[in-house]
Amino acid sequence: MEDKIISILHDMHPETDFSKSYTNLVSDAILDSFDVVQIISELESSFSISISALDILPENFDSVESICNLVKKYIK
Amino acid sequence: MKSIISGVKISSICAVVPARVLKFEDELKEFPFPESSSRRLGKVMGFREHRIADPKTTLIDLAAYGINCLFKEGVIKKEDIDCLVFSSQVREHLVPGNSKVLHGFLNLSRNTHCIDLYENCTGFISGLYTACSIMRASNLNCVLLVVSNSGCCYANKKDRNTYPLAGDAAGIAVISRADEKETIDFAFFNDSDLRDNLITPAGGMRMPATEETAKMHIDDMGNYRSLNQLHMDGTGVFHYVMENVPFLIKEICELADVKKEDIKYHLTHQPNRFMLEKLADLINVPREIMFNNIVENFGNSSSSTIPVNIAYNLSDKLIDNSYKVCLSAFGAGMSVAGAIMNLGKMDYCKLIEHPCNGSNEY
Repeated sequence: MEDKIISILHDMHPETDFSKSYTNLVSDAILDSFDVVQIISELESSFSISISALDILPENFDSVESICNLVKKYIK
Repeated sequence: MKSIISGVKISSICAVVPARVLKFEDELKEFPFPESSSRRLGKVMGFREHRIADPKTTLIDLAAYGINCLFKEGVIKKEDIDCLVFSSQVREHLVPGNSKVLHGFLNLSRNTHCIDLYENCTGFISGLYTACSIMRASNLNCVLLVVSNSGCCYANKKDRNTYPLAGDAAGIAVISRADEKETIDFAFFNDSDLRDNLITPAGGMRMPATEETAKMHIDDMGNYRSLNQLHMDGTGVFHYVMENVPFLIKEICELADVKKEDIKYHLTHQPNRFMLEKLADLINVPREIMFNNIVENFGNSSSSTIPVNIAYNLSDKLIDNSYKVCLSAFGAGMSVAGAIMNLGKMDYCKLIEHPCNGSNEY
């Protein structure tokens, strides 16, 4: 799952090495709101999930780990 | 604020879009992002094509064309119009107001009262409330509500956050007397502490437009923008809508004593497809009854999106049938507005194209 998420992020921002442990992807403006929209769409199609609007919070997209945790919540 | 107005209805709607179509695919190269990234975003947000009038076709031209259509089709007569309520965030001139300019273009009776509202995306519902209030408090029989926005030809073509969803359009609603049992239930909420979420910083009295404010700068994410242009905090707007529109709908349903499942259609303002899909899921209504196809076909024309939505998606159905509908809008302010009513058995409901040829004759 982590590899897939890193691949999604890398496709959007090839200039960024997402394998590094970033913890503030949104608050440091590495990802903007439109990036988040694209990530959600990719996660939903890749993992066959539907993410609630209530979970579309900056902190859920601030790191690869937080995105993994979000996806796990829906896969369970 | 919540309010119930009885004995009034929308009897006709005409929506007007410019015939000039601009394609997202042709605009990709303007954005300071890889085309593949913009294309992917466009797919999620519903950026496909939008209608932007040429610089010579203004909001008054779009509105006048629609009203001339209503005259020509025999829906209303000039002498029947008691009052013109014009709601927009764009102005034909600084002075006089849009309603007076439109009154002049149409050569309306000097007995026709003219009112202007400066409104953003909630402008159709605010205008409807004003028009219905005037009807209710008077002996008038016909109030014309006009919403119209143009000027997207001047928008920043390098700003991927705002330009692909920009659109010009007008909407005209004829407000008439109805049976006293008919009510329109309204609710409005304002959260102006969040007004910086959606703001054009310069160009008004607080920060007059200057050479300095017109200078382009690159924002944190690489968009080109000046202080004279619209700034949108996409995350802030998204969260505002998701937190406040479900509450708004719950409040109006209670006011109208209507169950959510009794609403046949949710006719919302149209910011983008993604937001509307998430909103439909959040309030647990089928996506099919909350249309989300206006941005991809016409763009977001601020206060005009609701009449465009109604005319594009329901024009055929609303002549012979009547449905319980919930209108909702949200935007700059930040603010939300909603209305529940029976909509239908209308005299006229169509979306037409302004030919952008310098004429307002239908």
